[in-house]
Amino acid sequence: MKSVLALVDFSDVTPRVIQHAEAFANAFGAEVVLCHVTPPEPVVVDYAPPVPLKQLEASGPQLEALRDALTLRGVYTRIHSDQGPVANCILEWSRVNQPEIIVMGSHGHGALYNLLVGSVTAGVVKGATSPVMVVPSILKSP
Amino acid sequence: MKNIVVLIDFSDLTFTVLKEVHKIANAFGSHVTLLHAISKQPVVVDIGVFSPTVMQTASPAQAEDESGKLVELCESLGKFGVSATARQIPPCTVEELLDEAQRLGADLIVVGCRGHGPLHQLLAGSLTGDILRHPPCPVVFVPHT
Repeated sequence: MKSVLALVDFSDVTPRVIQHAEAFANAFGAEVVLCHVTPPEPVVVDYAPPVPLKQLEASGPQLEALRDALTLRGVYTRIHSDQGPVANCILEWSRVNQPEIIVMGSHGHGALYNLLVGSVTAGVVKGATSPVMVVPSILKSP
Repeated sequence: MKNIVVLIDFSDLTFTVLKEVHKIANAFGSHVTLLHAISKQPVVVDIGVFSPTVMQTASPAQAEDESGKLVELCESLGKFGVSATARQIPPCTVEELLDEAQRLGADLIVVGCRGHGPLHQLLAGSLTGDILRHPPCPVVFVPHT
């Protein structure tokens, strides 16, 4: 079955990512795969606070809630959870499953974060074999 | 997604990009605008031992040639049932290109994305990176496959 991969990180951009993924799924007659990747805790560059255990446990029910909401609106939806380097996990999954399109948010991380950690969005866009839709996290006022 | 603006550069990727645009525009019944900025031409200037490369504004003949190709692309989209218009603008920066897309009422921008190496990105910069910094609306990047 054709699929639309929606990257979910429970940030302010997630509702718009879901909205676009749903529109594509309806238009292409595809299923939505909600993908959540938990990044590994930093080992060497330890400046970011580690992901609290509570947050990890909470992502399961939150994902299921999103899936149920989409299913209620008549979109066939699956969940894909993974842990590891975010961009690599996503690229790996899309190489195998060849989604019609990958929908993700652009993240307004600072220059320092991008330099040290690398931007997930840039990593996915540059490595993907499927089209990638980037939804801006902060909409520029016209 | 009623108004799709496609950034066209007449590279080998253009065909792949248009195929994707056709798919999206057909699915959503969108209007497509093909946006092209006339490219600058590298010219080698010979001054003694130095031969610096200077970017020169394209000749009118080249602009004409490119606008002809743009109209051709529009017509071929039209043959596949996609309503399309063409818009050609003078050479400009990425920001100006994105501003123009917004003026055209884009609610989706489609652009090709080539996987250049890190050295090319360091020296020449990357269009993808520039767009990613401040996307004015959702942007679809079509990979080289």
